[in-house]
Order: sequence, then structure tokens, then C-alpha cells
Amino acid sequence: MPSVTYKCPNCDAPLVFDAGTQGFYCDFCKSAFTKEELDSKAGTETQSQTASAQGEEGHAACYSCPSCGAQILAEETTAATTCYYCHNPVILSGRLEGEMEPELVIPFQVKKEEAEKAFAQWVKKKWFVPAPFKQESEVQALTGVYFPFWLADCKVEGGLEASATRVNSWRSGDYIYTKTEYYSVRRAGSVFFDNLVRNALKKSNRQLIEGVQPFETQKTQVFSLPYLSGFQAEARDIDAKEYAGEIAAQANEYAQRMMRDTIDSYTTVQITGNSLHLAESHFRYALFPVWTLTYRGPKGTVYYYALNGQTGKVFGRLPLSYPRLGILLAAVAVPLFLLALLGGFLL
Amino acid sequence: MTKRICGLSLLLVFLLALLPGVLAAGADTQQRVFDFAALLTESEAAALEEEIAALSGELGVDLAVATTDDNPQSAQEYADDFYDAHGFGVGGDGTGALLLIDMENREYYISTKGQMISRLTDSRIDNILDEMEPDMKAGDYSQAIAIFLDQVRGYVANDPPALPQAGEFDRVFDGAGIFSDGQPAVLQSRIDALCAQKGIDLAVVTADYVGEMTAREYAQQFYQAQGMGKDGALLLLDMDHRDVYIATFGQMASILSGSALDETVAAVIADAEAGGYYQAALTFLSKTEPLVEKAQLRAERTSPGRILLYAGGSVLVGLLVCLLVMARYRSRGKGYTYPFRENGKLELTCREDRFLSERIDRRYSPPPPPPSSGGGHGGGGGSFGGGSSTHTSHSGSTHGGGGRGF
Ligand SMILES: [Zn+2]
Ligand SMILES: [Zn+2]
Repeated sequence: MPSVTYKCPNCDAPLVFDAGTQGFYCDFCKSAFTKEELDSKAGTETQSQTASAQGEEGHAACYSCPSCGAQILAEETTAATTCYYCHNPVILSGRLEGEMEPELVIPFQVKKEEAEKAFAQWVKKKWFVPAPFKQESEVQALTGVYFPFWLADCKVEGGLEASATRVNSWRSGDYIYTKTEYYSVRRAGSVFFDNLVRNALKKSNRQLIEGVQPFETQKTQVFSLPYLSGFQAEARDIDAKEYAGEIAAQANEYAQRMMRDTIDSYTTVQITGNSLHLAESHFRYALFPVWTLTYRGPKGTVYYYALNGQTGKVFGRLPLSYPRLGILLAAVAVPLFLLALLGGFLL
Repeated sequence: MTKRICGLSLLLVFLLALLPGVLAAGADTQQRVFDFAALLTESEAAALEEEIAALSGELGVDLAVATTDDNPQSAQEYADDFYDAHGFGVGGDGTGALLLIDMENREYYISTKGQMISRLTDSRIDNILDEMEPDMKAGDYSQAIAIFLDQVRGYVANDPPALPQAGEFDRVFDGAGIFSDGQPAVLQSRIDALCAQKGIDLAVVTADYVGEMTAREYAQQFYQAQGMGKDGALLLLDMDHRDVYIATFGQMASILSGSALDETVAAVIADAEAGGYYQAALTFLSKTEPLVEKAQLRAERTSPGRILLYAGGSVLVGLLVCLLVMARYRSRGKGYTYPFRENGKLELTCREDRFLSERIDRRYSPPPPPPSSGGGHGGGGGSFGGGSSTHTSHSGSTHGGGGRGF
């Protein structure tokens, strides 16, 4: 499988994407490059090495490290990683080519140090988290991952028909008068929804993926491979077709509610006709940045911490230390019991 | 001469006492009258000897009389030594009594031993000595000894004391007759009330003679004889020993114990010493009542069920707190929902609100009459039912009817 490592035009050391400057950085000679500079030097200065593909696309495959040449087995959705041996960034470009090429990307905005600090801050106050989870080494294991998503743009067309009433009442002398007006109401037009987000990776943790949302989808950029340099990336393994029905239903419901909102100033409204239907939909494949940390509990339960790599929003499921919970239980129950007992004996 | 005889006989008795086997026979001599001071005539002594022998047999105790005019010791020491030296007494404990007339100290003394100690209480001995006093002073020793024997017979023959029988009141027994009319009834009613409410049996007993029993034994026997409940207490005013005793049974033994018991006894004694026996009994009841109440309340609060309840409740609260913590740790942040109203874009090509018709309903509903004022009278009538609301349709015709929302 083709793989690529971006190298410094000056010193041939690997280049990584830098969330702080939104540019590229050579840790060896401390040079920084913008995207444009890198693009202009593409093909000449950028060292990309291609190894022969072994195995089919979409399955676990071997690739050879462009830096050290080691043969490395990649999981079936891995699109970017670091070489196990030489720790240089490796992008499995073969997994992101052709129809598998993402349209959009949100480059990392939150630096690793910031993510680590946020995690330390978050976990510090959590007394019931087992001590190992708080350790420095765990924080070090914080990984920046580009997760694959589907962004759907929809156009819903059609209209609603309704019968509505408007009721007024007033008093005159000894009588109360009630006036009911009957209306026939019609609305028609189009409703557009942009960037309905869907997960595009089967093995993603649903809660994690939903927890870190939303991403500011209007700030996406055109996808380019170098953004992945220095990070992990997962290629999609869920087809847009699988979401077609779901997205259509959702867009339809949203559209109906929005159109219904325009039928106002009535006392009662009864929808009698609905011709709303999904007229157009367009799916775009995008990679979104997430800092993640997973922690396997003693019983195999997977806990995770995630931080939105664009907005910094934090989400996580924390492991609970049962001994510490036991202490809490005792700390609450024992004095309470003694107090009750004391009350019984003294009163 | 008499001194020598006395000394010799004492020596003889002493030597005899040293001989094992001889001692077992006790007083090998039947002599019980030792008139060393020669206060009696020979015939008087002989008659006395006979009388004592008869009385001793009758009462089952050993009685003796001694006189002396040569006693360097106290009368008590002389009498006790003399009694022991002669091996007087019946049974293993040497039950008996000796009357000593000590002319040297001009004292008369009654020494008791064994069961006679409890039968001839101090107050009784005082009584006996009182009775004897005139004759002693008059020098009529024979008569004084006769009174002594008579008194002893009187006290000992009546043993054992009969337990008071249940009379009008089954929880108040005034054996000593120290309560005045009406007082036992008040005590009884208070005890009954307490008994009914708390299930604790109480009794007040007065006695002027408890025999050889200790106050505790007497109280216990009495308690059992009356068939009182298993949890209870009994106040015994022992007028004989001028003693106050509170016997406790069953649960009362733990309720009325330690400092609470000491306090109650002290309060009762304080009243009794002031002569207020009835007040003492009332004090006993009023001190006991709150103790029982408190103990039962505590027992209820500290019953195993309650403790289990406390434990369960505490653990439950603890678990609740733990669950709260667990919920907080399980996830942070809410699931994401697409903000469709903000993100969606609506373009209406048609917005039509067509008026179809209207109808007007009229309902009779007179406003509430203003509140009437002043003393004027008003009146009036009203129709009920039958009225119909009508309305006019677009075509101009009148319709009736009604509807209701649902
Ligand atoms: Zn360099
Ligand atoms: Zn390598």
C-alpha cells in the first residue's frame, strides 16, 4: 500500500502539522512552513516514498515505512499513524485515494499540551477516579485522531395543508359571545439543511463520537494529506448509502417542524396534508480532529476521555474506583448509623 | 471460794473443749443456769433450770443464764466467751442466746448466736431489755430472768413470720400498719395504672417482722407468693430492721439498677426517716415511673428491628450518594442534537391563509350580583334550564346547537 512521510525541505527530517500555527514544523531544524509553501514545494522538496502494496485495500495491510523501511501491519481503517520503529509520521495515502479521498478536513486546532492540561484539570478534581488513571503516563497516551464523518446537505421540498381556527370571546350584558373563525392554511417551499453529521467509522465509540460534537462544520477546509502528518487518522468504513434513509427522515421531520412553526396566530391548527419530501441530498466525507485517551479497566471495561480537537469541548466516561466508592459509602453510612443509634440510646 | 470454783469450772470446761469427741457432745452438762454471783436462791435456780430446759426444747434453741460479780472484761466479751466456751447452741451454727447479769459492771447483756441473731433483732433486744429494766433495777433478778424467757418465747415462738395475705389491695400490703386510711387505695390505683400502661408489676410492702429472712429473701418470697409479673419491683419497708429494700425482677433489674436504684433508695429512705412512710411509697412509684418510661422508649429505639432499620437507612443513603457520584462520572456533557431551527433555511413559495367562515355563539351568563349591603331585603327568581343559545349562519338562518373542545 502506498504510504507517505512529509519531510522537511531543509533537512529531510519529518514534518508534522502544528495545531498552534496551523502550519508545518520541523522539530529537527526548527523550520516552519505554511501550507502554501509546502504545496509549492510539492513534488520536488516533499519527500514521499511509496512502498509496494501488500494485501487489499480495506483490509489489514502491510506497508513499509518510508523512513526506515520496516514492514508494518496496519489495521484495516488506519490512514495515518507513526512508525512503530522509527516514530516518524506515516500516512497511508492509499487508504485516502480515489473515492476514499475525504472532501473536507478540520485540522487540529488544540495542541497536545493544551489537551493534556485540560485532561489533567478535568481529572484532578475527580476523587473517585482510580489513581493509575491520573498518572502522567496515562496523560501522555493522549492521542490526536482524525475521525471520519459524513456530512449531509439536504433539500426538502413540498408543503403542508391545514385547517385552523381563531377564537375570540367577549361579554355583552348578560351574555358571553364566542366567535370562531375557520381558515384553510397552505404552506409550500423548500427547506435546506447543511452539515447533518454522521459517524463514518464502525468501531467508533458512539458516546464518544456524539459527546465531543458539535464541530464547527462551517470552518472545514478542503482535505489535504499533510494535515494528517504527525497524527493518527482513521479511514471511513461506513458508506453514505447506509445513512440515506435516516438522513431523509430526519430532514423531513425538521422541515415539517419548521414549516409548521410558520402557521402561527391560530387557536387550533390541524394538519390535513403533508407533501414534504427529500428532494436532494449530498454527502461529503470529512475528517474531524479528536484528542482521545482510552483506559482499559481491570474488568475490561473501556473508559475514555475525549476532547474536541477543534473547539476543546471535553467528554468522557471515567473509571470509578470501587474502593474509593466504598470509602464514600462508609463515610456517609457509618456516621449516619451511629448518629441514629446515639439518638436512640440517649433520648 | 466461789471465785475459785468459777475459775476451776472454767478451766475444766476449757480443757474439755480441747478434747475432740467431747466437743461434739456440746454441753455435756445440762446446766444452763450459772449463778456465779449468787443472785438466786437454790430453789429459784433449780426452777429456772427446768423452765429453760422446757423452753429450749419448745423453741428448738439453746438458752442460758449466767450471773457474775467478777468480770474484768466487758459484759459483751464475757457473755460471748462464756457462750462459746460452754459450747452452747443447737445445730451447726450454735443457735441460742445467753443472758448475762454482770454485777461487777452492773450490766445485763443478751448474747445471741446462729439463727437467734436474726430472730432477736436489735430492736427486739432493746424491747426485752426495756421490759426487764424495772425488775433489774429493783434487784428482782429472778423476775427479770423470767421476763427475759417470756419475751424470747414471744418473739421466737411466732416464727416464721406469716406473709401478709392479699386483702383489699393486691399490690399494697401494709403489714406494719403504717399507712392511714385511704392511702393504700391511692397507691394501689397508681400501681394499677402503671402496670396497665407499661406492663411492669410493682408492689409496696410494709412489715414489722421479717423473721430470719433477709429483706431480699422476704421481698422475693413475697413477690413469688403473690404471683406478680416477671418484670417488676417491690418496695419493702422493713419496720423491724428499719430498713428500706427494693427488690427488682426481670427487666426491672436492669431498669432500676446502679445509680438509679441508689438514688431511688436514698429518696425513699429520706422520706421514711422523716416518718413519711406513705410519702416514701409515693416517692418509690414516682421515681420508678419515668425510669420505666425512659427504658421502654429506649428499648423501642434500640430494638434489633430499629437498629436494622437505622443500618438499612444509612446504607441506603450512602448508596444513593454513591449512585449520584457514579452518574456524574459515567459521562459528561449531553448528547448532541442538530440545532435544525438555527441551521435550517426555509424558503416559502406559498403562504396562504384563507378565511372560510365564522360563527358566533351566545351563552347566558349573568355577572355575579354585587354584594348586598345594609339591612334591606331583596328577592328575586330565576329561570332554569330550557334556554337555547342561537347563532346566525352566513346564509342568514338561525341555528342552535353547541360544541365542546376535547
Ligand atoms: Zn528541517
Ligand atoms: Zn520507520
